[in-house]
Amino acid sequence: MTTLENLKKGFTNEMPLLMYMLGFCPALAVSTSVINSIVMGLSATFVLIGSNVIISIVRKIIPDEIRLPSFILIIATFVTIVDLILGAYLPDIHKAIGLFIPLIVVNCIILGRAEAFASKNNIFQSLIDAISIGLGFTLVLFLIATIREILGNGSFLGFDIFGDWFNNFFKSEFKPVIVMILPPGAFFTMGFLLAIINYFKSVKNKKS
Amino acid sequence: MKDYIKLSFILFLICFISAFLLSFVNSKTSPIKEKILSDKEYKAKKEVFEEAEKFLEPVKYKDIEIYLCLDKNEKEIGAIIKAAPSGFSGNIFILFGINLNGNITGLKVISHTETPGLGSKMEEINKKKSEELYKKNNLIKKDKPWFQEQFKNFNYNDLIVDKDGGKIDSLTAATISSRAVCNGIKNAAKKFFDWYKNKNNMNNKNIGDEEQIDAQTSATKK
Repeated sequence: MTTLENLKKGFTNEMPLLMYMLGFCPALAVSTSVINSIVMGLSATFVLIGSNVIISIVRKIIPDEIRLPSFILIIATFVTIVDLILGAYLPDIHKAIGLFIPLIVVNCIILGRAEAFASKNNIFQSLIDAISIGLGFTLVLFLIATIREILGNGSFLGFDIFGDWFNNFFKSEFKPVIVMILPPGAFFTMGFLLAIINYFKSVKNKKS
Repeated sequence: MKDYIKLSFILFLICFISAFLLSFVNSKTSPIKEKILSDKEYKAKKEVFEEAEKFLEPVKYKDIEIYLCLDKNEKEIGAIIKAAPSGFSGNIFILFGINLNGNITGLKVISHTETPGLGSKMEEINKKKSEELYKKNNLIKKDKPWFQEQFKNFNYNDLIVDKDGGKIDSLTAATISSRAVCNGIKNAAKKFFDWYKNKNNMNNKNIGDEEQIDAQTSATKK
């Protein structure tokens, strides 16, 4: 696999959320608003970069028997660092999603990449892999959150987007679809996104 | 056997390094965190009781903390109470001011772990909603979270959410959180007045002595 392919895979055929259905827990829980989803995605990306690089460095020292506990320890360390830094520098966002930051430890994307990629490849490729998968994850999180925030709250990044123009145009006020920011809304959004992706997949298959 | 020693040594080494790293990051971030918290608390105190000029040291009574508030002339005009009623998930830490008539002077949610997007809306700023509430109560500040502002000037006995037939607008789809805040204030206020009555009864016995001492000291000064 070339470096470019490695960089692209997180956005195409190895997109963790939409292709492998990995990392659902944070995707469903924090995608209620766009800003939360971005911070969550970037935090996961940071942890992924840190853990992938370190695991790639120590992959030859760690014996096979204690592979998993060692990986979890390394991942947990990075997660705690993110938790502490967010708490000090972004207290408001930390308050909103703080509950889900520690859960990055058990996010299957991160352990999955450590096990499937970083423990078998060199440092540079592991770094690229982490960036690609991490940003791919952030992108999907951002997409879900955008749909949910616009429909469920009538806003984007906290700004009211159905303001006066909507009133004038439709002669009625915008009423947010509250179910979209409730847990079922996450499943609806996810379902529709998957349906779209699968449709394109089947079209592609037919052609080939 | 030798293997086990080697394995545990490697695991120990990883733990050691990560603990070292974490303690380093923690030593850098914890002062910032503490400062944020204490700044927030002083600001919050002033916000929930504007008329107060001085806040006394906190007194713990049952599960609440009471900061007596004095005005310019050092007269007791009310108190700020810190309470932590349990909400939908975990405790909601609140700070509210109450004057001696039992009217709320302001409410502030310090921290909570309510559901993001639902219960967490107790901190949401919504101009439209504030405008609506302003018509009923002109003490409401429009650039502050409307849910917390609406408590101003309510007597603590009248704090009932609209779902239960009261006048407090509850948060959409988060009635449990809204109810928790109302009941939390009510219970804390009751406890405060219990404490305050007791304190005054005690003081009435002592005040006589104090006045005598004052008279003595002024006499010696003269």
